[in-house]
Amino acid sequence: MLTITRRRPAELADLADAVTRACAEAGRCELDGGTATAQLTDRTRALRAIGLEDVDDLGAQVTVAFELGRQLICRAVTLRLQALWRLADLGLPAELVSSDGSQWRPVVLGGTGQGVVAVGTLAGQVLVIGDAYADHALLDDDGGQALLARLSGASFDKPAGLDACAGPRRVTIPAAAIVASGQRSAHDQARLGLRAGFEALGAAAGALDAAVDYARVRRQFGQPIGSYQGISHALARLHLELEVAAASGHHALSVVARAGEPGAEALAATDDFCVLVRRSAPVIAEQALHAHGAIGFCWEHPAHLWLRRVWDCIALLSWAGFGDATKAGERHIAAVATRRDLLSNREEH
Amino acid sequence: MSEPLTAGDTAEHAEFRAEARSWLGPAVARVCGDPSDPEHDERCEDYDVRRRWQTELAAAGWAGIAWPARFGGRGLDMGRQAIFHEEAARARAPKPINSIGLYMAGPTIIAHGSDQQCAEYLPGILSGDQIWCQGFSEPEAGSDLGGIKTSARPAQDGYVINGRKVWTSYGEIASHCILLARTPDANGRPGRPAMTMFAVPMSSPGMHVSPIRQATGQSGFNEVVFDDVAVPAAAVVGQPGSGWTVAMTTLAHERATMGFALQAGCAVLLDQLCELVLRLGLAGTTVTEQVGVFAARTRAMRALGQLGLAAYEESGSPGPEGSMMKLMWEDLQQGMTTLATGLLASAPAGPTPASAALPGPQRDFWRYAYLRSRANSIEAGTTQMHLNAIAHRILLLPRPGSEA
Repeated sequence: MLTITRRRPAELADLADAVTRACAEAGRCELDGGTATAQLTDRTRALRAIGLEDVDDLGAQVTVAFELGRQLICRAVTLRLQALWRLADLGLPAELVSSDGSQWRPVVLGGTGQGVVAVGTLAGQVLVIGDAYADHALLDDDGGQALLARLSGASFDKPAGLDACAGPRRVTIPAAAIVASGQRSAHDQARLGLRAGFEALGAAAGALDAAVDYARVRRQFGQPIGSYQGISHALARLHLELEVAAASGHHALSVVARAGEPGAEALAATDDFCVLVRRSAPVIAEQALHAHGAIGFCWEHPAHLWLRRVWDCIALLSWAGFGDATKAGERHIAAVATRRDLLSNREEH
Repeated sequence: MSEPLTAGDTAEHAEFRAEARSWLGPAVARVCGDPSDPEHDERCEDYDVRRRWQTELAAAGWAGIAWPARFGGRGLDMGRQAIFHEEAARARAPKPINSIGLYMAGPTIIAHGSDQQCAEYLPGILSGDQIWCQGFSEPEAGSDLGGIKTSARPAQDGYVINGRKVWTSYGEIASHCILLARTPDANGRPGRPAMTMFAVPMSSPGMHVSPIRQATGQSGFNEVVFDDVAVPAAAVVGQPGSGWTVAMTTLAHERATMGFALQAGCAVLLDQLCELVLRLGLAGTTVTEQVGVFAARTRAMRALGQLGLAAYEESGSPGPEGSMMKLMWEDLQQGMTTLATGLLASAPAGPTPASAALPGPQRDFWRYAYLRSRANSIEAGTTQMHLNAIAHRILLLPRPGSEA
């Protein structure tokens, strides 16, 4: 398909192909979450073998994130990758959480949106993405610091879930469990938001691809259902939303990647992208599920996995502080008000 | 806008943009006054204002930016044409009176016309001495352009045209029409789906123009009747029977760069919506969330246009982004004007003093913009045709009745 989400420079197209092949080798995520550590280690190796952990270019990272979302590789594996990239942004050593190849040591990305540092403990709402497997958590405190904490010794208020649909849970981590910290910048946050947003978009694209493929072959009333405008126009609308968000993402990528760009510009462009992802990606994955008819509602069909993955990633970009349309609107209205005041002041003088 | 409008420009494009911007500001003020007046947009619709605007454009060399230099243009790339469209919309400039000539008929004649047609028409199209209209749609051929019935029957030394065209913008003031008509195929058999493009003077005997009043109350469209209109063989643009290919050129030129003007128009409307929200004292309410989504989508539309233009410059033909830009434009225009109309509908009874103080012309502006935006679903290809384009050309879904 000749589309923005698929149109890439040759080197990124090669990278995307390599990710697709590695994902095919590693296999999709599990339906019931009972993945053995050995399998996760194998999958991590499959991705490490093609050098994904060392990818440091942001454009390449979002390409990888998009493909991993589309291919539905196990969530714990993509979270680990996202966490390693985050550590690199923050200048924290990856060895802190890096696997030695024989042992699975993933990390969970979490947040303390309203985090409170109490005496001896750090408590707050932490996202429960993949923490069933994790032994570390990446957290943000209110003072602009990013923290890496060991999860051993942490206490949770409810059992672990495998996806963000389960909602956040409260965790209390002993202060002694914090093993490293680093100052986070606007650009660090923007990079995290972009990678999470592109992974969400990749998951939405995977769901839509499946729905389009199905609409071409599924026949009812003697015709492929994709020939009926009730289906084809709905899928075309979803494709439009996907491409619009992707265009916004590529623009944000260029702003964030430009050296010397003020942090506020990078944050605003990333936020615009995340506003669109947050609104569109779930709708695309939901409607793609619906387009499959009853089969899309079956546990064995992956439609619900893409939908869950979308929300996982949205939880991540929200944690990074992006995607709130009300804040984006306030920003725009304030800019118009400021410009108007400037104009009227100029006229008065 | 919280980001510079130059985002994504090369150094050369940034320089061109700066040049365009510095010319546009004073020129707009000279021709149609202060753009912050509530009556500004209505003033810009006035045909005399638009004639003066085209004269200014032509005199300063802005009329044919992407036209070859040998035809009086600047010979620049489509990117610069797009930048000028964007800056003009941002400066709230009127549209030139001969928009159809400059951006559709002219490029079509340059691509397919004879030397004689180029010499006869192109200077007048640039200067605005000629005004062109487009004769494509018919009462029974709207989306289905292949179903046109207007016929051009071969006669001695030329053709005789009969039929009816509708939704013809500028028909009442146009000097020429770029007309698509059905002709017999190469073997002379009538009724086969062969079409030919013609350049027809509107003063030709047998042509009748009558206005069509629209939902807004204004008459921007016309019906044009061709009653035994005789034209010479030299009026054919391209080859006899090649009308479909020629028509696609006409539409492609429209879609390649106009998206930028549409996007910049949305950005202006977004700022006007924010002004309204501030005046009505509604900042900080649930309206803000909707504004945030409109803002993100407006900027995404610009990014989409840039990607589409890059693809166009690479491949030479407009990609499916054209359909996406069109759909985004209608969604944004209709979404924002509907929101504003809803806010104003509840404002008069509200306790907010600012709502009572809202000037009448501002209310008129939103009422007109809301009603006018209904046409956005229909003009420049209906919503359904663009959705079909995405479904069939991008998603490769089977067509209705397909056995695939």
